[in-house]
Amino acid sequence: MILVESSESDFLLLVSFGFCSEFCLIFPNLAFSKTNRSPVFHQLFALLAKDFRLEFRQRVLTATVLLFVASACFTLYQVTVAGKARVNPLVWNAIFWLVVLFSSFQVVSRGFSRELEQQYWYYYFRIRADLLIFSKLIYHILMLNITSLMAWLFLSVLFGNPVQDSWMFFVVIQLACVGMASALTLVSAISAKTGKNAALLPVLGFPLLIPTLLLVTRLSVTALDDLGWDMAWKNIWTLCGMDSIMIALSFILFPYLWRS
Amino acid sequence: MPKLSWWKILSLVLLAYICWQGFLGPVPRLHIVNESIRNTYFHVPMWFGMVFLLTASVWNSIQYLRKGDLEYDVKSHGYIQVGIIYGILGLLTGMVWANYTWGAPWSNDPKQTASAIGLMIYFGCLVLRGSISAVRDKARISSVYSIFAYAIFIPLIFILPRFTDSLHPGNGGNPAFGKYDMDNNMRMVFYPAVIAWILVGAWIAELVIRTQLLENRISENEYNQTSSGESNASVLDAGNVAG
Repeated sequence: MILVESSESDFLLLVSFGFCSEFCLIFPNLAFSKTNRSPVFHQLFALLAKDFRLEFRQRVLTATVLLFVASACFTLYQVTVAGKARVNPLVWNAIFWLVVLFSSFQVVSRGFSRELEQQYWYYYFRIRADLLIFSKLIYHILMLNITSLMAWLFLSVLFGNPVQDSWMFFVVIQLACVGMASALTLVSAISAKTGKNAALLPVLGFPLLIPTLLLVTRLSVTALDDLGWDMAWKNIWTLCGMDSIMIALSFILFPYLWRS
Repeated sequence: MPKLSWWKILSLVLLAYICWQGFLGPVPRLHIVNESIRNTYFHVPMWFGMVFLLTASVWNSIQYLRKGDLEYDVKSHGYIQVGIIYGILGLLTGMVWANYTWGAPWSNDPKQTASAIGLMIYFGCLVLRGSISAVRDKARISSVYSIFAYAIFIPLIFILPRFTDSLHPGNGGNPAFGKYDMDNNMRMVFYPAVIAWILVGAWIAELVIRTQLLENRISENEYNQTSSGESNASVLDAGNVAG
């Protein structure tokens, strides 16, 4: 009983900590107001602040993603157990990552396409390409964080929370967000370039997400069953390796994509 | 009489050799596998050929991004097309073989999964190319995507076998026929088969690429003729392209 209670308090602590830290970052113009450090950091923070200010002004878009998560969780609850039985942790795991997967496309699909073409012309002359992709990457990581923590919260309310090692699950969510954001940021830039964003993004994105998803689902099973960190390290390092390959390639390839 | 390069003649000789040895040569009698072991000469090299062709395609994509010459993009696209054909053939021959030895055409084997994901990625690449009309944009964007996809696809091949035991020989400890059950006679056919199928793939890709380059030339000439009104003689020496 004690174990269950401590894991529940950990869960609440982590979710609230996550939300607090991200809402601090959502307003970087508060957190980094009038910072004029090196020009690189200044540009980066300006871009991020612009992204989150846009997010704040068009709150309906954030609300769309959160509503998507909520309605996906509720629909999955209705079609699976609907209060009649408790769900197997493995099934819970699958449902959780499905919700995160589909909502990640909702998040990423408007990362590049919500700004006007003329704005990109302006950026092209003012900002380094690697800074632009880096700011989009951070923005996607944070937004994915919010959606996946929301999914954890909603699923815990509906299905119950089978996660035994909340800290490890939190770390897995962080790694998954970095991995999915790094795979999808470049792909969303590509599909925004073609102008057929909605149709093309899932087609291009799904196969590229499979390696990350495979590693992440295995890792989160380790967290669900409380198998300990020893079981997880190998997969965690592999996941970090994959993430760094994808991030490095996004940095190398994005300038070519941008030049038109 | 068309003049053939030495490697094309080599591929023809090797193909004749592996057809003769593959269908008529002696093979070890093994439990379950029986005569179907002959499929090794035709199924396994498809995978080698696919990886070779996709690597060639990525190399040309990198060259396109570095130099901006559209010929590299045509090459990259041609290698992808033939690589996809090799992938489909490898998957089909493997599924027929698996149906009789493993009991089902699809058993979530890591190599099956990897080739299916590879096909999905590169079909996505074809869709991407199809959805852009401007030539330069098409070349640049699809090069970026195919480099990125290749860099995710190759680690995947090494990650996947960690999660599911493979039924393929060599990993997962499948006793049906291990790597060491291939006797020396089979090895004398298998290695030439790998070389032959890679060469055939390169040959098909070369034809695809030459056709595409000629078509580009012709459309370019038509464009020139309609825009400036003067005839351009280079249609006549279009036959020299990559010959």
